[in-house]
Amino acid sequence: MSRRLLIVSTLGAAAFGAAMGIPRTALAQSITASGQVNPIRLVPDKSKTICGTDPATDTSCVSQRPVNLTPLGISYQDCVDDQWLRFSVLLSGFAGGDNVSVWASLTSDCTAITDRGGAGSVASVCWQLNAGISDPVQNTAQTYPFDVRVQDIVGNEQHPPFPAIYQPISGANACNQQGGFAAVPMYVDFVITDSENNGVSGSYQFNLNTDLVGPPAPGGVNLTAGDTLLNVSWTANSDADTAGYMLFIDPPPGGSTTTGTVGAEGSSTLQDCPDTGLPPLEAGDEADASDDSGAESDALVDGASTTDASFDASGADATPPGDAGCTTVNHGGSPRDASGSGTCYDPVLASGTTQDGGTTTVELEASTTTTVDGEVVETDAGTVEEGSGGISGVDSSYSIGVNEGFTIADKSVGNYVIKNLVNNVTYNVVVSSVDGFGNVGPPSQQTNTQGNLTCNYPAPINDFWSTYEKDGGAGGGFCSLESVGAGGESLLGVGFVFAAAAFIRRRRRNVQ
Amino acid sequence: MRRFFAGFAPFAGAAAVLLLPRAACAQEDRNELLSGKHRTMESSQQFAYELRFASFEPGIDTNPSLHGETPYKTAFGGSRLLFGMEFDWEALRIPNVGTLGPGFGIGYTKASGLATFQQPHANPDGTVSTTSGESTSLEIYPMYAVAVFRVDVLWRQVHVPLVPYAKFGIGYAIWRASNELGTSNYNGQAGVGASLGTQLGLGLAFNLNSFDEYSAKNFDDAVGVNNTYVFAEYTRSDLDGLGIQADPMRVGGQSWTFGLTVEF
Repeated sequence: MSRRLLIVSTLGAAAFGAAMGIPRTALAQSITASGQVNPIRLVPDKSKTICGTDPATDTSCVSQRPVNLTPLGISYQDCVDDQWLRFSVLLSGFAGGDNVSVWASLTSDCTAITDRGGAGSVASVCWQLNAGISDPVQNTAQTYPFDVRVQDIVGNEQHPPFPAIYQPISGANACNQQGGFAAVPMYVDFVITDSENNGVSGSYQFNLNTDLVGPPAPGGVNLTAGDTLLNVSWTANSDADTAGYMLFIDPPPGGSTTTGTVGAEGSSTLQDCPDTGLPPLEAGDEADASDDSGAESDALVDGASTTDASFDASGADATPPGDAGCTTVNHGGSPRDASGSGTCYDPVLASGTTQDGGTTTVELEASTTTTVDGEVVETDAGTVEEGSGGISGVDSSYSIGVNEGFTIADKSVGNYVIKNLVNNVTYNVVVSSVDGFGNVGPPSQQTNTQGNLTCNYPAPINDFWSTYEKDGGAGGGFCSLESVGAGGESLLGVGFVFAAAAFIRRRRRNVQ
Repeated sequence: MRRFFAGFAPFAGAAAVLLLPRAACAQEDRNELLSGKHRTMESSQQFAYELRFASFEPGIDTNPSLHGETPYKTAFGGSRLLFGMEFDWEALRIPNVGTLGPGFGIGYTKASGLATFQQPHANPDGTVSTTSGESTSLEIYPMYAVAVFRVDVLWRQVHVPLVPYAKFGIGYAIWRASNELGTSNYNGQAGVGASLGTQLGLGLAFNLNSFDEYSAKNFDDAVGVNNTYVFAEYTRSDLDGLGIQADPMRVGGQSWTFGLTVEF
């Protein structure tokens, strides 16, 4: 009687099977796939599945990643979440003494006993994921579930245990096994062995793509300021792994953050006294001359050579220092020196003072063509794990943009505007690259190659119109068009169409 | 009120041109049939279309109310490219002189620069600057309705490929000042508006048909284009309100305009 092992799946994504390159025709001898072999994803306690079904309609389901983030591959987040994969395998035609076990490998189908650390081998190239079942004598085909931990798949990748026994590996350490940022294709092998532990034909190999490391941070990050906005630019990554970028900002708009560790609790030493030759501000001068209703900074001069700036713990009012010759700005964190060699505060939670991030929403707009309106992602920091693997060390609650897919899905774009910020509040902005699995790479350096820190503070500006008005100019009104842009372009188009129509009409007349 | 009506005089002139008896045209056609062989192969000619390019700097800073301040030059520096187009109806042919008719033109120009901080700004590298990272811009859509007089007798009768012309009429421009947050606003006054004034153009066109008359005739036979010109034009738009608009932003100006004209 021939052995037959049919793998079926309760998930109905046939396209995935095709995408994973499952060799259906090659499985015809003793193990054959039914054509739908997507493993079910399970949360750690296996109480819910992770699928594309709306959790609102299926309470047994937890949302999976968006389709543009390779939801059926293994990411760092999947690993630290301790997900499980459930393969449903239809076994049929097994004789007594036959076994089925589940293995993983980077290169092998694990049928050779030497690949599984058996007699005659000096090392394992396969590692066991599931002890499988023994002696599945069946007269009729039956479906067996094989549950495999993601951490078991990727955790032994670099150092398969030898001899190759099932050796569970747990914790975040299991997820830090990949050194490079490129994706690593792996195999999950359902190996049929006889009573002598020799592999027999018909074993089924499932292709699984894994990527546990985010792409490298972009370089050349630069930050310039405007009125309630910051322009952030960077050099687009050229590696194949980068698929987009995420921006992080601290303090996060919409909330206050604890920043800075210098000075006593409730205050932060702010020293920014470059020899600028600027006239000292008078005590009580408003540093923010705009009419924005957000948090304001008061510039105070105390005549001392150095000053401490104390923050209102509520974050509603930040009082930066003042000094003769100092520019009184609110840096909100570690002091900087005039040479620019200082550092901004890290955009991570730390003990210290509280700073108001301003409005609850910010707008992220590409400086080129793409416009992405979003809001600060108020994610629970616990939903995105931090670690040395794929996830940036930046708390996800500092992310700007929508929480689906990438904040910026165009890897070639490196120039964005962050709007709706608060004037005279220093923001630190870092950029991380994101790969096609959703792995967020490390944050960009806070000091770029030009030595400029990637922190800056929005401040009121004089644009052309305000300058014109202040200088005494007038204008406006008189049949002005609020939507002059669209209107004017339309008029240009009308002029062209009118000319073209006249030309065509002339031609027709000439032909007649 | 008189100034108001005076402002529309060019429109009235253009209307008068349109209402001139067609008999004049008919007479011209008969004359042409009896004249030299040059005209016998040509299709009728009624319109002209211009593509226009100019290095343009609006005269915003010339507004007396600015008392010598130069907000435009401060924000944007010098001139910018102005692209435009003009469509003319050569409604009337004046025998042995040229054509007269109304024309309508529209253009677009945009000046951009970096805004300045209200207070000196401490950069992350420890330096201090006054220039922000936020752009400020001014978009202008100049339009005009003019009477166009083209003296093409030199070309048509003497074969000198030069056609001087003049245009005069009403100019009107809508404009919008903006920054990266959208339309600029200062003390509740939005940075959008329109300015009214006069429009003048004096130019000289060079007929490219003179290089290859055979090809020009084929071009006429094929698509109905009678003449193709390159031109240089002194253009002046004084958008000072014409007395009916109080102190508008003077987005008009003087420029040399170059371009291509086709008559069909």
